[in-house]
Amino acid sequence: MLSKLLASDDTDSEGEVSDFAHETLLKSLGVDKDKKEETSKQRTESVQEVSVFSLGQKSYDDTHAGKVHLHQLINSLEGKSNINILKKQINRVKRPTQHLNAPLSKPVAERLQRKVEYEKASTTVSHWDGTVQKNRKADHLSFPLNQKPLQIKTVDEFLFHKSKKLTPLEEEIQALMNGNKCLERKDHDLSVLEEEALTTLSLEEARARRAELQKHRALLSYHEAKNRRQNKIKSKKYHRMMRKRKMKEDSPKALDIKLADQQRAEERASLRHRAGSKWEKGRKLIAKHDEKTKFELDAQKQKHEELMVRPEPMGSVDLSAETPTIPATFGNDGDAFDHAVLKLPVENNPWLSCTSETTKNDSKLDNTSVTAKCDSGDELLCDNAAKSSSLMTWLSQEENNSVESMKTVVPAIDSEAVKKFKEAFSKIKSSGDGEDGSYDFIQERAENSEHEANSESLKFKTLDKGDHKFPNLNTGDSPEEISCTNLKTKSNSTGSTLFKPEIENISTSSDLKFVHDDNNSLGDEQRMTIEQAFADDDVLAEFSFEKNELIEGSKPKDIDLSLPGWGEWGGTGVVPSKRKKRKFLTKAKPPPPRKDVNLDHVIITEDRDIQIAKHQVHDIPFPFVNSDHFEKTIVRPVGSTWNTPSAVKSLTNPEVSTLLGAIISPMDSESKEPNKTKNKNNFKKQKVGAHTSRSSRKQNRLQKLKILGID
Amino acid sequence: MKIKVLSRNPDDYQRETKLDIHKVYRNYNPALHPFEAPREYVRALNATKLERVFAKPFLASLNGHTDSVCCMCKHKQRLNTIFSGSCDGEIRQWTLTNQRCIRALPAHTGFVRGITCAPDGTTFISVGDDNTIKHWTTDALSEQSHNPLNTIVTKTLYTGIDHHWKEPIYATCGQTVDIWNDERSEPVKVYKWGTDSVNSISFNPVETNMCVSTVADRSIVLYDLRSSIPVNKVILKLRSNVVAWNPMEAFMFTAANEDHNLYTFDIRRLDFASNVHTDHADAVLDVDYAPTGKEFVSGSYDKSIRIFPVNGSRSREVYHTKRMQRVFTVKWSLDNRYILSGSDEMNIRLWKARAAEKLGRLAPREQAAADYNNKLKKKFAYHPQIKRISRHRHVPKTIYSILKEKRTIKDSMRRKEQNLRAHSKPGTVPHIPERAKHIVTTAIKDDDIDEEDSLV
Repeated sequence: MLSKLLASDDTDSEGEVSDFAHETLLKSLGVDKDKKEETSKQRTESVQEVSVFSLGQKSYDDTHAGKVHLHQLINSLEGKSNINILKKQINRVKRPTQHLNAPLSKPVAERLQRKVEYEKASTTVSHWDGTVQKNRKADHLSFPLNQKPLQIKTVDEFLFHKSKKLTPLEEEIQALMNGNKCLERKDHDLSVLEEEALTTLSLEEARARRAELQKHRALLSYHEAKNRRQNKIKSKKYHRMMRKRKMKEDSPKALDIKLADQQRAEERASLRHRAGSKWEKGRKLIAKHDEKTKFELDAQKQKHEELMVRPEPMGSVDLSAETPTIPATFGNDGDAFDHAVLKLPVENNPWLSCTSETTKNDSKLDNTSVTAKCDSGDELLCDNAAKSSSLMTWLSQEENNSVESMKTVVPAIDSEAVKKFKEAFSKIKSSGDGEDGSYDFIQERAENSEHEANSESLKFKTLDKGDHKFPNLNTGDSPEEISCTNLKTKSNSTGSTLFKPEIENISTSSDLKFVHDDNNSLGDEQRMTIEQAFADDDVLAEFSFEKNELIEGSKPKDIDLSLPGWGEWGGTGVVPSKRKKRKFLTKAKPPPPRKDVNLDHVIITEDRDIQIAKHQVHDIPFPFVNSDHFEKTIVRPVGSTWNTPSAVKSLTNPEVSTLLGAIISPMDSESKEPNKTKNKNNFKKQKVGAHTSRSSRKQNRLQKLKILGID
Repeated sequence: MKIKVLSRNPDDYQRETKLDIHKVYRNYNPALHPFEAPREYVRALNATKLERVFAKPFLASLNGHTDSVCCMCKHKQRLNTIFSGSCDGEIRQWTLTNQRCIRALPAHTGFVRGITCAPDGTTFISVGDDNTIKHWTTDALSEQSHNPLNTIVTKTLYTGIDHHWKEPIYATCGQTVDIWNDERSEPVKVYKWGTDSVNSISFNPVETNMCVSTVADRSIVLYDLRSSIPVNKVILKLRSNVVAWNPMEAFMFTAANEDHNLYTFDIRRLDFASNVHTDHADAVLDVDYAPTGKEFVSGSYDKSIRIFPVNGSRSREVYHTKRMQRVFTVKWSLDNRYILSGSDEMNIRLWKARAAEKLGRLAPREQAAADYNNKLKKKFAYHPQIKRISRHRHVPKTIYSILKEKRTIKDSMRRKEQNLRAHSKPGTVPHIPERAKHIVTTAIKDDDIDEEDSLV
């Protein structure tokens, strides 16, 4: 139809279109003529505000849904051959439309952005994980962290690399040091000045100078070689000669050299008899085979020994002869006994009361007599000999004699010896040294008392306590011993002649003791008194008694369930039958063996002690799982009593140490540790646990955000 | 015959002067030194007792303010200098060596809300109730010392300020969080999330681009200066007053809360406090970390200061005096030795960080003895007597009674919950750990992220 209309247009040569034809055309196109005239408005003027509504084409026919469809236009293509371009265009139009979604609302967009930012922030922060973990676990941290070790600047650094302003003096020095031509240079052999000098020399002068230098160098090396050679020579004689020559050169006086030689010879001679000398060593090898050298060696040895004996002071010679007897008198028991006696003052000691009487008598004798005796040693010796013999005779009689007779005899015999000892003792005491001695005794007493109690008192328990036969003798004896012990200490230290009389008296006392040992009954007497003295201190027996009581007390008791009178005739005085007793008595099980069964000297209590329990840990504290582990940490000591200083230092190292007066700045990026964990979300993963492949999901999320246009 | 004799050189064991130390030759044979554990226990007990004897933490009181001290600031380069602001608008600079005030500035009208010091230590900045930000020089002797270097008049009131740890940037908080450059009079960046006012702000000293603020809507908000919006937020049951970052751990911070507790958070997991520090009897108003990052100090409305270990929920120390009122601000000195507290009754107090520690340089032997004693105390810490003595503190009656009451309440609540759980269907009454109990929600949740993933 369209073609027809077009043809008709062509046929009208004038270009006039008949009304009919025009209307049919319009109809065929679906255009309403009247409406078109109404709606189509053309803008004739340019105005500022252009209404959106006035533009655009309204549909020609409202009933027709107002659109030109493709099939309506296709007829116009009839007869046209080249429509490929059009086809393409149509295909492009036909394709499904791609359009952007409306942008997200602000809160939603922000929420998403926030998530991304938060992820980023946690990732950056997670880089610190390694550092933080390391610091948390560290045994010791020293703040400020990253302290640079102290370094001492070299002079160059200090002088020339100073950033501060220099003082005029420093500037001067620097100028001098820097610009000076005389200075040695690191990379050159010669300084600038020397080089310059060399360059300024003429050729001949330079040659001469070089030759001179060469000569000098050669001489030096010769000298060096000579010295080295001489040093290697082993001959002593040669060196001696050289030394002498040198001395001669230094001081040309021949006399001096001679004198020096003589001195040396004397010195060498004085060392002749030294044991292990070179000569002796050499001789020893030959001595095995040669009698003569052996004899020589022996003589040498003898001589050496002679020389080695230290010249003793006069007084001590006697002592050395006497002392060996002293230890014999001071046995285990005797020793303790003496010290015990010494501790008590004489007046207060009841069993020394008799001696105190005698000492009172003795005190009548003045000190002058003693000093006189000191001077005349020979007399005393005689006296002592007499006394000892008299004692011997008295002791032989003693067995037969009665107590009364003893009382009378003893003071008469003993008085003199006792006097001397007492006086000597008092003298020593007054000299001030006695105090130290007594202190020692007290100490020793503490140590020995137990032992003494063990041995003495137990041994002689069976003896009758009432029968103290010879109090006088004993009391008379004890002061002697006291002075002996005192003397022993004093004479060792001083060795002066002052103590001569006492020393001689020792001999008497030792004689006395010797007799004691022979005579059993007398020893018993002494022990009796010891027992008497320490009657209250029976520690061992007390202890064993206490222990027995404890053991008995801790034993489980038998339980008797028998009821007297039950199933029998009752009444007063009913005794349950044996059978019944046997039947109803539940025997207690024997207790587990005590830990201290075989230990006499200890009581081991295995019961719980409330006083101690107050200090003990009841439950295993938190980080520990096993009580053994906890106990091990407690048992291991950290103190210097048990550990070496370095171990103590490492054991007691504090967790945090700070430098006094230093600002501790926050963690710096320099101290950041490389993170071991590759997954940046490691932290979260730990806590969240079961979530998988977080990173892949995150990537997806990022992609999605990109699509949404949010970066 | 040659006799071999043991001989020693007297120089080895004799001392030349009486100040010399004897070289002691010792035999370490354990048989000679029995009873190691009991002997060390006695030593530990004695050390613990002596520690309590020597525990005298109070050093000095800095008085001079004529109104309550409401904020303090440490100089970042000098140990002996601090700045304090009071409620009457006065700022004072103190020298701690002689405990003197070296200058007093009538800085603001109304409260001084916050002071912060620049990292180079040349200037400090203050904000006040008169809507101004003022820059001051720290040099008390300069001509400019009595006038501000710069005054910025702002539209709104700022309640807090903190300086970046490295760059010339500082942040203020009020209605919004503003980021400022030192040299400009307009904020460079403005963060706003919600309508509630922000109480305080604090920069991260390690990851220096991050900061955290506390908001009046009970939340703690995390910012990253590189992003244009706040990053995350956690809402607690009650409001947090202040936040302090751990200077050694980039991701840990502690918030002082109104509910008498302090909460330590890891910023990577805000829905769960990594530690809850309880012991205060009233709202906690300020918190500051020790520079070692191992401990922090908190000041409370209950008129006491407490020191907590970072990984412990109970305090190791409580400081109080009869005259000290509500503690508004606390600071831990940068050498880890002293604590400063500013309180309602106009005084700043200087305390020792470790109450029984001897001040000043110790002789090597003193140091060794102190180390040994500390080690012993640690070793025997679980023994009941030592635990009892070392934990014993005297607290004012009010605090004591409040704590007692709190304990009773807590016990009864726990009992009630247990009963509820016992008498209801298994699983219906879940067990919520203490560390999650006080947290309402976070802006970004783990589950939230997971949902997203499942959608994709």
